[in-house]
Amino acid sequence: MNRALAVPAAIALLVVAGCKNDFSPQSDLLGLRVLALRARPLELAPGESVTVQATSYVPAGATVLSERWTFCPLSAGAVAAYACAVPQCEVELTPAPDGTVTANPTEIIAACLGFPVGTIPAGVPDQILTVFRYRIATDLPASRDAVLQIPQWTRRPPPDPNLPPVIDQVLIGGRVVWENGAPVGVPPLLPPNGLLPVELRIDPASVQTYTDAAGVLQTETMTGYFYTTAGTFSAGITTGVDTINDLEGTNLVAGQIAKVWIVALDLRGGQAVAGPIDVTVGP
Amino acid sequence: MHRAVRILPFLSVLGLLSGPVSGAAQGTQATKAVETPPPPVPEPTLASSPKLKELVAADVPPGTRFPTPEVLVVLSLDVSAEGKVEKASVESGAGEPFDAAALSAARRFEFEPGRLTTGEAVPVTVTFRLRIQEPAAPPPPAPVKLTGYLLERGSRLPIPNVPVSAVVGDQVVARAATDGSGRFQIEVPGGEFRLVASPPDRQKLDLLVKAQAGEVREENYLLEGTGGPNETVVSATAIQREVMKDVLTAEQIFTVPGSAGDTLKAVLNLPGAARAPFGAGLLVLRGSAPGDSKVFLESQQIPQLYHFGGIRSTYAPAFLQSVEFVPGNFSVDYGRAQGGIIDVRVRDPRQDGFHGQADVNFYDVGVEMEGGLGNGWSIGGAARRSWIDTILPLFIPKDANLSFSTAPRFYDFQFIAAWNPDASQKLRFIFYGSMDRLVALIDKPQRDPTITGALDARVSFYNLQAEYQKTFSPNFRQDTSMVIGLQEIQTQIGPQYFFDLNVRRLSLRSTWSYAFSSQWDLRGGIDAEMGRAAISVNLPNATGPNPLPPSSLPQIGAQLTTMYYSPAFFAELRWAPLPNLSILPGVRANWFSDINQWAVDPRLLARWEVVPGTVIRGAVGLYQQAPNPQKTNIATGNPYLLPERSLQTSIGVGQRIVDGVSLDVTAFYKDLTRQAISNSTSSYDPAAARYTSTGTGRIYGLETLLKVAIGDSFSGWLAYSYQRSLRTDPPTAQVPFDFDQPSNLTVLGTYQLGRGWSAGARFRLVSGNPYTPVVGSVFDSSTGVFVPVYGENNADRLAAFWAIDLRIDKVWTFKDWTLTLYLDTQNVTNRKNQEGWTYNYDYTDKTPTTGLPILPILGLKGEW
Repeated sequence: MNRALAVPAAIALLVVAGCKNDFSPQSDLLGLRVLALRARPLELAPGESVTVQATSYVPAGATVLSERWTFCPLSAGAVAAYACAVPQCEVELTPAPDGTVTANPTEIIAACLGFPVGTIPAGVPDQILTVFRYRIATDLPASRDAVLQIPQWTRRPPPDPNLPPVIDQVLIGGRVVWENGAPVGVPPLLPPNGLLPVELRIDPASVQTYTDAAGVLQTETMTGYFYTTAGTFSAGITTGVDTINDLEGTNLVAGQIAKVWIVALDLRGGQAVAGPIDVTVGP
Repeated sequence: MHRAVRILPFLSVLGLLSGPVSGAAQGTQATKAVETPPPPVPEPTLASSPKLKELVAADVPPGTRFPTPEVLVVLSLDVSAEGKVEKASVESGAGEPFDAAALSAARRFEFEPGRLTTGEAVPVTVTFRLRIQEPAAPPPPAPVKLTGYLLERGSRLPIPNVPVSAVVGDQVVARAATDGSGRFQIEVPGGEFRLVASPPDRQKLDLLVKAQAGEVREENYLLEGTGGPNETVVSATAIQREVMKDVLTAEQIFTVPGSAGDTLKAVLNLPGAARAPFGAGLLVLRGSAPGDSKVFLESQQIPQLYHFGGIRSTYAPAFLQSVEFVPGNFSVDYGRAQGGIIDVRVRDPRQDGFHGQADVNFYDVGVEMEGGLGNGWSIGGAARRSWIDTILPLFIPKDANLSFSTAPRFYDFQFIAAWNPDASQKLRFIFYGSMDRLVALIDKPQRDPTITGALDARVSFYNLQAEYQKTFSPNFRQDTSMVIGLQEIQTQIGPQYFFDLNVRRLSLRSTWSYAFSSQWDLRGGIDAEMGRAAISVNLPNATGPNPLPPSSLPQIGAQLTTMYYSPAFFAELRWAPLPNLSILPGVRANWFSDINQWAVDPRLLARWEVVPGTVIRGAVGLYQQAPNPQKTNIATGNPYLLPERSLQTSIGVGQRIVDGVSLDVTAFYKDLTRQAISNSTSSYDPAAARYTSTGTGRIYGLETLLKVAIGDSFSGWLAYSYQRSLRTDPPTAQVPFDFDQPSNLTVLGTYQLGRGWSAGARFRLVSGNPYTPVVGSVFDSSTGVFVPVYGENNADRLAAFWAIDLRIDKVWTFKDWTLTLYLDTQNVTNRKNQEGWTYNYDYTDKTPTTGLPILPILGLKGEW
C-alpha cells in the first residue's frame, strides 16, 4: 500500500508546503487569462451536440491575435496534458458570431473512425471523455491554453445529467450587484487600503448529488474563484454555496477601477460566471 | 721502599668467603713463601700475608648468562705496603664480562698489608681466586589483583564468556574469562602489563595497565560493537551469506552525527543507500524504488517504518542491539523484495538487576525499564511520545491557512519478555507498535479546490512477535518466529478523498540448519505470510510519473476485503571445499496470491579468503516480488501482472589494511524486468489494463566503504557510491530513475575527547535528484486549476546536495547511572539545498524548494 499512502502524504505536503510564497495569487488578473469554458449541456447523450463558450480576460491595450478551438472525441487526460488520444480525430471548430463553438462528437467520431452514426463498436465504453481546447493569443505577447472535458455517453443518455451551478447573487459591500446572470447595481467604493466584502450566493437547488468512483454518494462541492484586475482577494478560492471573500484595496489610488469576475464551479465541468463588475476605488 | 715480596703461587690460600650478596665475589687471599739467601744475619721474613679488608663485588652486567652457577677468575694482585692493589692481572680467566668485572672489583680491594717478621709492612704479590656467583632471582613483587567487567558500551550489557589475558612483552602472564555478568578476576605479577580481550563482534580490548605491586583494582571496560562487512553480530551463524553487509550497533546508531539517534537513518549513511529529500527516511537501496526494499525486525517485516514526515523510525532504539544493512544480493532467507533489506536486531532485557533509561529531546520523550525475574526470565518495556504537537504551533503563523485540532503526534512502544533457561534454547515475546495522529483544518483551498476542509490521518500498527530458538546439538538448530499483527490506516482529506486500510496479518518463519561436517551444512525453512485486508479508498488516480493537481485527475475508488497469502520455502547449502572458501547455492520459491504466481529465485554466493585479511566475495541471484497491492488489486490495478524481477550480480573485495582500518569495494549490476508500470491508455480507455508488466531497468555501480577505528579514540567511515539507475517504461525511452544519484559521498567520524566528551561530524556530498521540467501549462476550466505540461521525464537534475552535521556528547558517569547530554545539529551551515521546485499557479514562475534548514536537536539521556 505504499503508493496509496504516498498520495495522501503528497497531498498533505502540498498543503503544508504551499502555504507561503512570493508568487502573485491566481486571483490577480495581471495578464491574459481564460476564466471559464461553459458548455451546454455538460454531459452528452448519443448524437447530441454541445456548445461551448469561453470567458477570457484580455488586458487593456492588448490585441487578440488569434483564437483557436479544437475538439477531440477522446481526451488522454491530465496526465498527457489533455492531448487527443486519437489525434486523427481532432478537429478544428469555427466560432459562431457570438463566439461559441458547437460540435457533435457522435458525428465526428463516426466520420473519423469510419462507422455509421449510431453504431457503437464493441469495446467502446459506455462513457468517454471528449475535450474542447481553446487557445488565445495576444500581441503582448501572451497566449493561454484552456480545456474542458465533456462526458459523452455512447449507448444511452446520461442517467442523471450534470447541470451547471447557478449564481443567484453577488453582493459587494452588502449591496447586490449581480443577479440572475446580469449586473443589477453599482458596488460601493473600495476604500484605499481598505476592503470590501464580496459575497457569492449560489442557488442551493443547483447543487446536485452524484455517485463517485468509490460508489459513495457525494454532494457537489461548490467552488468560487474570485478574480480582480486591481487590489487582491484575501482568498482566491472559496467553497460553499454562500461564501464571503474580501477585496483588499492595498496600494490602490482613488478612481482606479478593479474589474471583478467570479466563477462558480461544481468541479464536474459545470461553470457559471458573474462579471465583470467594476469596483471603483474611493477617495 | 721495600722490594716486593713474591708469594709462591702454590702457597696461595683461599681467602674468606663473604656472605651471599648479589653480585659479590668471594675472595681468596694468598699467603706466601719467600725464598731468601742465607743471611749473614737473619733477614726478616714475611710474617703475615696481606689480608683482604673488604670484598668488593664484581659487577657483571644485568642479564649476563652464567655458564655455570659460579665462575672462577684467578687474579694476580700486587698489594702495596699500604694495602692498596697497585696492579691486577688475570692469571686464569673465565671470559668476558667476568674477567673485566673481576679486575674492576680487585682494583678496589683494600688489604691489611703483608708484614715481615720485623713487623714492617711490605708489598706483596698474591694470587687471588675470585668466584663470581650467578645472582639469585629477585623476589617476585606482590601481584596486582584486577577485577574487571567487560560491558557493552552504551547499553552496559555484560559480555560473558570472553577470555581475558594479561600480557607482558610477548608472554601471557595470566588468563581469565568473564562470567555471566561480564566479570573477570586476574592476578598479574608485576606492575605494568597489557590487558587483552577479543570478544566476538565487539571492539578488541588492548589496554596498557600500570599499577603498583600489590595493588587491588576494580575497573569497567566498555567495548563497542564492531560490526563490519564480514561480521555477523547477532546471527546464529557466523557464515557470511551476503556480499555486502554492514552492521551498526545500537551505540553507533545513537551517536552517528546527523541521524539524531534514529534506528534506521544511521544505516542510510552506508554505501548503497540513496539520500532521501527533506531528511525523510525513504529506503532507496542500490537504485531500487523505495517499495522494493524491506525492513525486518528479527526477520519479520515491519509494516510501517516511519512516523509522519519520515523523521523518526517507528521502532525506537531502546531495545536495539544492531541493524543489519544489506543493499543487495541478500540470502534466500529473505524475499518479496527486489531491492535490499534491513534487519533490526533486538536485544534481550538485562537480567542483572533492574535498569532503565529516559531520553528527552527536541522530537520526543521516551522511557525504558528492564530487569531480570529469575529462572532465566527478563522483561522490559519502552514507550515514546513525540511532542512535535507542542512545538509545531509555535512555528505556524497566526494567519496561516492551516490550523490543527490535533497537531501531528506519534506514540510507539516495545515490550519484551525473554526466557533463556539454558544455552540451548531461548523463548522471546516482542510486542511493539506505533500510532500517528493528525487532525487539521484547511480553512480555504490554496491551489486546488479539492484540498480543503478536514485533514484527518490516523496510522497505527501493533505486532505481537513470538520467537523460539533451540539448539539440539552443536550442528543442529532451529529458529522459529511468528507474528500476529494489526495495521490500520484511516485518512480523510477534504470531503472527497479518503483511504482506509485494515490489515490483520499472520506471519510464520522457521529456519532449520544442520552441519554435516565442517565442509557441508544445509539450511532450510519456510517463510509464510497471510492476512485479511479491508480497503476503502477514493483517491486521485495518479498514474503518471509526475505530480498533477489532484482535482485534475480521475478518481479511483474501491471498497473491498481480500484475503492474501504468500508462503515461501527456501534452502541453502554451504560447501567449503577449502578452509577459506565457501560456496553457498540456494533457492527460494514464493507464491503470491495477489497475482496467482509462483516465483522461484535461485541464488549463489561465493566467499574466498585469499589471504588472512583479504576476502573476495561474489554473488548472483534472482529476486522477485509481487507488485504493490494497488497495482494488483482487481479494483484498482491488474491482477494478471507478473512478479517484478531483479537479476542481481555483485562482486566485492574486503581488505583489512591495518588493525582498525578496513576497505570494502563492491561492484554490482541489476537487471530489472517485468516491472509494473502504469498504462497511459487506461486514462481514457476503461477497458485497458491500468498496469502492465512491461517496465525494465538497469542499475549498476560501485560502492566503497573505508572504515577506521583508532583504539577507543576515533571511529568513522567514508562511504562512496557511484551508481546509475535507469528505467524504461515503454513506449518512452530510457530515463534516469527518480533517485538516480551518480555520486554519493558520506564521511563521518566520532572522536572521544576524554573526560566523557565526544564530538562527531558528518559531511555529505550527493548528486542532485533528477526532475522533470515543466514546459507549459493548460487551464482546466472544470476545476479552475492549471495543469502542468511536462517535458521529457527526469531530463533535468537538481543541484548537488551537501551538508555538514555535527554532534557533541558529554557523558557524566556516576556510581549507579550515567547522564548524557547531546546536541545533534543537522546542516550547521544552514545551506539551502534544493530538493525541488515550487511553481506559481500557472507554472510560469518557479522558486527552489529547499530542504531542512539548520536543525539542532538537543537531548538529555539518563541510564541506570
